Amino acid sequence: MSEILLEVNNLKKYFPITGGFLGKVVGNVKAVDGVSFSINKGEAFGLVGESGSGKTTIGQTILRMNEKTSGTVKFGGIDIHNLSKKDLKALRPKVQYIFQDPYSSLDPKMRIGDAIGEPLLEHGFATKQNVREKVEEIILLCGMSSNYIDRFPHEFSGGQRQRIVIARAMALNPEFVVADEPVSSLDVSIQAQIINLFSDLRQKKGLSYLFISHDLSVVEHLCNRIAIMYLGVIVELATRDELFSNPQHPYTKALLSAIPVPDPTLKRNRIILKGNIPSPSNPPSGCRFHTRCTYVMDKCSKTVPELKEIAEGHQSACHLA
Amino acid sequence: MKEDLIKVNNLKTYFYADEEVSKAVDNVSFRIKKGETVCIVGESGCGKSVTSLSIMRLINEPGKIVSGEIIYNNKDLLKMRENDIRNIRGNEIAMIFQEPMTSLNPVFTIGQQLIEGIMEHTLISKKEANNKAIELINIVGLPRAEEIIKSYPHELSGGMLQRIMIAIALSCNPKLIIADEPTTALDVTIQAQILDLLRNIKAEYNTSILFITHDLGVVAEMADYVIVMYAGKIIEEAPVLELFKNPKHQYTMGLLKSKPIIGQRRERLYSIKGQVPDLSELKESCYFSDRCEKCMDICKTKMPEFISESNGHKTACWLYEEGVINE
Amino acid sequence: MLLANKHKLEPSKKRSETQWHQAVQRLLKNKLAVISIGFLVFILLFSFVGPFLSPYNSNDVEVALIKNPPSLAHILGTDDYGRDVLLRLMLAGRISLTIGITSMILSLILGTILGAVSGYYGGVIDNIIMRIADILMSIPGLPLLIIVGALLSELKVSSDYRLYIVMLMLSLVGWPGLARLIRGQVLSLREQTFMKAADVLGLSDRRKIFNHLIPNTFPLLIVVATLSTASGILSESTLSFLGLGVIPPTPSWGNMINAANNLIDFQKRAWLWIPPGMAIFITVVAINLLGDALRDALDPKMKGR
Repeated sequence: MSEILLEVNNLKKYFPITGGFLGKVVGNVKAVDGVSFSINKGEAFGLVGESGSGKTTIGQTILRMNEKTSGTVKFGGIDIHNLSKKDLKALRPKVQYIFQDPYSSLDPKMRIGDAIGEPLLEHGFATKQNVREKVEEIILLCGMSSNYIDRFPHEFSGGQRQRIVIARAMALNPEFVVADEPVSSLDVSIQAQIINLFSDLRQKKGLSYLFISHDLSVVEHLCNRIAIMYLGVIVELATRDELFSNPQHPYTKALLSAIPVPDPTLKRNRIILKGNIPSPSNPPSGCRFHTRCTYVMDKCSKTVPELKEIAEGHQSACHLA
Repeated sequence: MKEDLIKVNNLKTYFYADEEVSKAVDNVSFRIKKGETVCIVGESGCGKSVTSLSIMRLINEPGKIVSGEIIYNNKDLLKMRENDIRNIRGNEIAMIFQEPMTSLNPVFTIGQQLIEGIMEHTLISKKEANNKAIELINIVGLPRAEEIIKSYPHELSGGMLQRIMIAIALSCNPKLIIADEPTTALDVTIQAQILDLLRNIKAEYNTSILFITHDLGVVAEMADYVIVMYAGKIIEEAPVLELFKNPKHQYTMGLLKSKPIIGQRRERLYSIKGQVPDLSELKESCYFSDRCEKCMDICKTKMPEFISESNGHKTACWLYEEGVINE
Repeated sequence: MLLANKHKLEPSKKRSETQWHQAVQRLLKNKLAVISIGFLVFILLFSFVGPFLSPYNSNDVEVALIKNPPSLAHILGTDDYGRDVLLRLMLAGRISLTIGITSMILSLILGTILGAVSGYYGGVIDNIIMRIADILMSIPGLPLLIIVGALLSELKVSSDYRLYIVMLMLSLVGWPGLARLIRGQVLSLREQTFMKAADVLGLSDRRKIFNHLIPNTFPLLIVVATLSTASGILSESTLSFLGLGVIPPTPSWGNMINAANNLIDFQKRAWLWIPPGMAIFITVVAINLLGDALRDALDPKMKGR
């Protein structure tokens, strides 16, 4: 039985909107509005959603890169938001984050070797004498050559920079990595290389990760369990096979059918959603998806559907279920 | 047999920086027929955007269209005077860009920007132009046109703005719409809406579309004819069904194989080794040679010529030269 | 991006490795910059090496030679004590340049650290530091320096000490402006992704400020440093001209121009005050042109995309 590594319970993160003359709070952007899930050790968990779904905010709140509004996040049983500054710092090597944009994630004025070595020195994982050696090890592990060490970020392409960012995160030997759309800004042929790198690292280092993406096809390749988010809540959560063979929530179905497939002979039975994604500062009443749902009923605008288990390891938040 | 709308012959657009020359578009020729959707597909740096900007003659310093012809309506666009080209832009040939958020002027209302284009190219009164604007907003599927006319760009979402861009593009009944990665910055459900809209427009108005993208899935959905570019050159082109059924160039095959497809999961994704070359350091050779699994000696020294087949499928690869092994 | 710069397999052998090299190359292509650098090198050599080449000594008083016009023996003539003007010009250069550069360094260090700390921490610390800066900035600099200068004369402070005090005063007046600029840069840099990445990696505040934030302000710092040297030289000259900065017998370009105060010297003995004036003029203009050129050379392309 795998142990639970990360446990998120009813997490909420609101961003206040200030307005008016004296700058008082006039509303909230409800980026994450009551999300619960857990990730086991060794698991790859995919979090999928479009803009406004709150997926990036969850990734950052989980690692306490911002302060939560309410709810709990427990990492190995420890509440991450209750830690002192010192304890939080001690935790950091175990939980790492990879940002989406490889072009701004690296300090342009720092050599790659220094950028990767710095966290090692900070946390005492290496001394000035052996840091270079350790940096070389990690660089090779991530599929790069050791002559990268003395170079600057601007000398590398997007894909190479993303590898460097991954190497920097891996240097601390984390147990858990949150990867926020790490391949979205890369070309297809480079995406494939980085996706493979993620798979390899997971196998070699026993990593667990939360993989955030808008691209279901990438997530299908890498993750065992997947959660679909819409406007701050999880609408469906299932194992990979379950989700793709038996999607329940209308949004999931629409998302799946919207993905363009490179096969011109395929007759698409496409569900085209009407309307736009509402603003997270003013979400629709009841089920947030009801304004765009093809199966909308009266009940949907009045009551919020709970995320309940409809099959083994498969949860959905829909009144139809 | 449809007629040609635009024919691009031997287009060369280079970029000059310090002492280096980047051959962004290097001797590219193709044609777009009336009512046809041609997709140019390729990754970053392949020259697809620069090609489309060249057609509209929107290349500025440090870039320059060095040579070639773009024949439209029996005239060469590259030899036209600035005034004549301006009459064609936005009028007969319209363009939609990738970032809807920055394509519109933030200090003018949507209505003002729609009307501006209409009044520039047609001789109708402001009131009539306003009516036309409302009609266009309806055509692109946005509700509450009256409100939208008075809104500012920052009040609309990405998907809505892109529809407005399409409306502006349509405003003067163009014969060709050039769409440069119009859905790349949009969410996938919104992308589905926009692609649907474009298909409807094409059916209704018989507009040709030059669709530029890096997403092979989008290509499969939209294209009648596909052109694959790499490092400034066309390396393969074919009607869409033929290209996906029989990809010939190693790069095309690599692209198709490295895309993760739902329902077809593999242990490891196929990936093309290496990186796209630096466009200023290209030598006489097949530009893909250093990444190609089937690279031969000749590939490293000579640029391959196009081999055409009867079904319209063209490939630039030494593997298909007569006498050499055929796949 | 259209130049597909991001698609290099191996970093190109032609391009230099660091952004500094690229910036230096760009700088050297700017003709004005090269001329300015040339002038400045000349002035530096003139002031610091020149005196060793002069046959005269600074305090050679030769009553017989008072106020002689330029001649073969004394290329720029002699002053009211019979000293060689050329030599005094060189020595004055040492003083003026030293004061300019030192006060620049002091205000740079003070302004950078305070500005970076202020921008990084925000809140109360930011408020305190910026309010102190505001207070200092709202006191007119020159009057303040003049008051201090007058005070030093009253207290009959020796001329050596005066030098140090002048340097100190100039940097105290100079740091607030710099701190503001640095703070502004730090505020925007702090939001960059690589700074957020530094947070997640658990890096200490000290590391973040000194290894990441401040190095990224170097382009701004270099430009400001150059310009503030110029302003330091001008301030010192003004003060010394008024007799409140560097006082004789220590020569400074400013106090040499004091000769122009005397109507007769002004009209008839131009060799006393034109050379120092020209020296200040050339130095300050060269520094300003260099500062401009540096800003261009280090500008957006340094962002490293």
